[in-house]
Amino acid sequence: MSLVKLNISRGVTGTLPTSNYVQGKIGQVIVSSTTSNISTTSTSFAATGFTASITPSATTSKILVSVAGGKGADGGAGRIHAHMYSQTGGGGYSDIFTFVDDNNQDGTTYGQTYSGADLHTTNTTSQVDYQVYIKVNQGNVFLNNNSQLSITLMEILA
Amino acid sequence: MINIKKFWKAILILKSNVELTVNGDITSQDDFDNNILWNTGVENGNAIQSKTNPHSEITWTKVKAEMDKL
Repeated sequence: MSLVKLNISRGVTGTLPTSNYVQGKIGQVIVSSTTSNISTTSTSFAATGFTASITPSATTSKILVSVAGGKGADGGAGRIHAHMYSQTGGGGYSDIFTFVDDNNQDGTTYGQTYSGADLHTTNTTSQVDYQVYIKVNQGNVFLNNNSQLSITLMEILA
Repeated sequence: MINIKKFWKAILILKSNVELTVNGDITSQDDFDNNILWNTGVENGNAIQSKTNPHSEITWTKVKAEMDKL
């Protein structure tokens, strides 16, 4: 079968019927950013207060959760762990994914940035909150030091 | 040295094994009262946290005094 290619930049007018193409799958997009210092001496996972929230429009939606930015500091001296936690309908936070695992802040290096993402199945139309939790093996560490850290939430429609 | 690094040095001078998490800067009594979550225990691997400082040996006045020496 021969293939005919059309130059759609010219000579094509009108509106395509929706059955002819796949509709957009992205619903709402939420971005939460902070420039606050975030640091800890906690040796168990501790809430940072840095959050983002979304209310899915359908129970079949998934939420693409991504986090990026931050800045390690030479004032830190320890191994930092950072996880994303979530809660649904204010029911209490639980761990959903790791985005920093045992990153060494040795007291002299600085400027490390961090990132991670996960497709989160929520099965709800209630509000879902996401919060960064951090801990250190010993000493104190920075997830952000006068830089920017962002959480982006995208609702992926079924 | 920037302020937040002075804060951490001051805290660890006053009590070396204290566990807390800071979101923001600490330049005043108000920051000290509102931007710090203090660990008071552990449950299922997560810190139990409180805005109420459980360490009598750590006060904003003492922290500020140590910061001013740095």
